Amino acid sequence: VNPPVNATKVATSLGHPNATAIGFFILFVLVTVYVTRWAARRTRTTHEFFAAGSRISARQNGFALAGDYMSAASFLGIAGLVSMSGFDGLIYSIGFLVGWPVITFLIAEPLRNLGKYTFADAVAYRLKQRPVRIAAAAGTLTVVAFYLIAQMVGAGDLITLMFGIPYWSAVLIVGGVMLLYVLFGGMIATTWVQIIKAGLLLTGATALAVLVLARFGFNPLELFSAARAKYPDAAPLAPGKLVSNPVDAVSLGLALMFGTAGLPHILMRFYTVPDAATARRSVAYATVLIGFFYLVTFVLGFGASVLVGREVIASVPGKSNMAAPLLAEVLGGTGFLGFICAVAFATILAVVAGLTLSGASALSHDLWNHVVRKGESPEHEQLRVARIATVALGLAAIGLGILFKGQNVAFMVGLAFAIAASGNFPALLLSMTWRRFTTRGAVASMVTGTATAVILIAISPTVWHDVLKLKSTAPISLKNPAIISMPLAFVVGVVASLLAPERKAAEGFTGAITRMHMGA
Amino acid sequence: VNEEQKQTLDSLAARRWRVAITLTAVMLAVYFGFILLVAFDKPLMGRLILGGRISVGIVLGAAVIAVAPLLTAVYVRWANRIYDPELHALRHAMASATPAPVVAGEPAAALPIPPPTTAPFAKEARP
Repeated sequence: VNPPVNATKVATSLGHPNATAIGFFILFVLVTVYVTRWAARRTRTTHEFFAAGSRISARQNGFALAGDYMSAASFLGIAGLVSMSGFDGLIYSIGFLVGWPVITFLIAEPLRNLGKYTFADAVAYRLKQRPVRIAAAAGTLTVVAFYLIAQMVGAGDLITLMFGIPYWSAVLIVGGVMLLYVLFGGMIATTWVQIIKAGLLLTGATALAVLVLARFGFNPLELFSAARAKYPDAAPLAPGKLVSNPVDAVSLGLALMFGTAGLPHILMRFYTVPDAATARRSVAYATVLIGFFYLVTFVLGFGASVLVGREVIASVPGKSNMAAPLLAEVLGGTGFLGFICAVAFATILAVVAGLTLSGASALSHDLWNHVVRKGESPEHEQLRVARIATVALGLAAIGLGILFKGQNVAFMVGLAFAIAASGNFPALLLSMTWRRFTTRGAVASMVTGTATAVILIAISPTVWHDVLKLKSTAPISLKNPAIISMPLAFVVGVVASLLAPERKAAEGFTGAITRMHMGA
Repeated sequence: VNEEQKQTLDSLAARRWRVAITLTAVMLAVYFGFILLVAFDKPLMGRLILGGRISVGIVLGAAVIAVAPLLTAVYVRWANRIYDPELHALRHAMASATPAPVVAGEPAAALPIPPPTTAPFAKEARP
């Protein structure tokens, strides 16, 4: 279906400074800065800075987890993917959701009981602190770096498109405001920013979905059949090209499912609640919220497909990423468009804040306190190092955002998930479940998982052709490395442990079992 | 910790892992079952039902999305109703045993009497 281009020109105010968008955004910043001021008065210890004093309730942490996870990429990206290719977008949504039950069953409770601020606490519990901490911090910082670059570049692009301000100023605003939250309000402010953002995003997306469904007698079936009638040749209700190679599909599935359980900024949230039972209930809240969010996004994608039209979506700068904002404009006018744009901006801010805090915890708690100072760093010094690390990471995020301008960074989120699934998750699970796991096994598993994932991505068709623009065939045809790198990390961890048993680590496992179930 | 308490804890821990691993396996099977159906039987997933208004694939996809919170609910119910009370009873048994227990490498204060279950949620942080 290729109608003449001039027939599809749209009257959209997207990309022009929009008073409602700017107004809502300023309101969001004012409210969150006020919350940060309140939080700053309550942030005096590292326990408050990194774990909000473990006083967050199950429902609050459920919203904060959802806030950390529902990025602008998944909101705008998946709505766009659904609008342009229908059913295929659903495959991504499902992948992003199914990691959450895995966290509930395998990770949340033992992690909460074993650790204090970072997931390395749980991995290193009965192993030698320094080597494990170095490897875990490297894994954390790698995941955080790729995730941050993707978020910052996405922020610059999206905000330029939606607000009409220059790329660099968008990156500076995101970096600067985020620094305010983390530097002064630590985890307390970051948690509340996530809760507010999750509430706004869920409200905005739900309101939009209700407006869509109102056009179809509140019957999703009518919406689907309208999409089928409008694009009879494209078969929007049937699988398209996304899953053409089963190996690629399973590999991506593994990365999404187990990567979620290895994302350091998500794992860190479990220390903000008082105990394991609360951690368990908080993931349950998060799972329901995130599942609901993806169902809503699916409706938005189909709504945009029918009510905005694929030709129109393809004709605006930013293309399918703008499907949801365009839909908001069609259904609710410039005001609603402004609200949705402000929500997308707030979403990016909150995710970047969570990532920065988790990077700072790896630098201060794992590397400074446990590696450099052998666990003897005084409280005020740890807090100072954490704040210096926060500023350094904030500046790095701004610098990387500007450096990677215009680059194809879409693969970086997939890479972050693959590294989390291969570098972090196997060592964490083995350390919590297997008595004979050793320090060497943990380090070997984390290093192998992270390195293999990065190398395999670097020689994959995605980077070879789309990023490096090389003409020759990519060395491997695999698009996502998890199907190789994750099992390899498990095997290396097991073999390295069996080759050189560590008596102290095995003896310490008895204490770890008690602690894992009974708590501290 | 006496031998009997240690065995109670070990068996409770083993039961939790058994439940956790079973539920994880169900989630894996459901998710990868869906992905493999998309990969190997596109005609089935694209088949239209209910008068052509929805496809088998969308119904199954929505079902997978529903399975995730349902399995989570199964686990949370089990843990709240069976696992937590047994753990609580064990904690009491351990705490009332004299003298203070010493766990490998851990200070003796590693197993304090837990506060009543309602207390931790009373003090919620609010701006």
